[in-house]
Amino acid sequence: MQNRDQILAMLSTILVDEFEIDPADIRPDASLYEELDLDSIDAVDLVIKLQQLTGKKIQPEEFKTVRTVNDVVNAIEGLMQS
Amino acid sequence: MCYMVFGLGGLLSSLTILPVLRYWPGSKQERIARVQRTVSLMFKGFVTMLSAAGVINVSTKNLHLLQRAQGHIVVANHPTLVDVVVLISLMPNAGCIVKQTLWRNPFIRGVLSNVGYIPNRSADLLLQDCKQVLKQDTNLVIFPEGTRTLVGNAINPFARGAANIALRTQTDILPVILHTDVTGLTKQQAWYQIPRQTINMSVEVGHSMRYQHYKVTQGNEAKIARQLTRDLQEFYLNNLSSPLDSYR
Repeated sequence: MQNRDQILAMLSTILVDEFEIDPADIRPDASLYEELDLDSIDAVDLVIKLQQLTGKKIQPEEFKTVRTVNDVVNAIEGLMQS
Repeated sequence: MCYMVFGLGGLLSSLTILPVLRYWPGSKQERIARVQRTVSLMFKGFVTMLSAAGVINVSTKNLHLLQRAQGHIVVANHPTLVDVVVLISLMPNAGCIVKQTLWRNPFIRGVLSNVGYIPNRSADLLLQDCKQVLKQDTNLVIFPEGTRTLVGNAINPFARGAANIALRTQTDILPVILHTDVTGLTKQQAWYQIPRQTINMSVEVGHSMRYQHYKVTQGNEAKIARQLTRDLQEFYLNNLSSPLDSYR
């Protein structure tokens, strides 16, 4: 899972399979909380899933500023490089 | 006038009765139960006053289901400003989730923690708090609509918090249907606009929805919570579509 496309594909799979989100709504600038209707408990679940799939530990602080699909991809990309 | 009594009553009781109860002997759990009963009684007094003033007339159906419930999540629709007062007046052991910012208020914090209420902190802390409070037989009151029903709607779309808490703390949901005949004390009106006509409110307690009916396995909670939320919404829409029977 090196490049952004793969990260986005993984994220989309999670959003569609676990959170019943319509694939058509998943755009880079889509806001997780408003447009994709995730709530704070979903966000915790999403972080856990991402941790499992990437094998990296995600600090809650790093995820605090995440608002959009693109923000998640950026955060994961940063983690994979570190 | 009623609001003044409510405000003054709140202030006076937090200065007098509640501190006494706080230091009254007993385990923490006994003290919390005592404060919850006291708050319930004070709210009962307030509802009696509202009825005497002709603002609201409360009738109940299957009330025993609510009164004997322990450690349940009590879910209700939210037509008016006084819903929580009416509900707590009918329950000796009610807890709520309260805005975290209120915890920073030194006057209110003492009361809130004594009555076993929960701050809406981050999701994982909130779940821990709920688990603990429910274990002590407190019923948690949650309005999944999040705010009072928009006039003209039967309900607002439900948030998934109540379903999530139920599934993740393995708690049954007791649904309460609040039926009102005249619109009043809604979000779209100022708090001082008291309706001219008495609001008849029926408090109808449904049968509990067992969390075991929803097969939660590791990792599918988010999905099941969505299902349970849809079922809850459906239940309320079906029950609220017909006008109030007893006043037809």
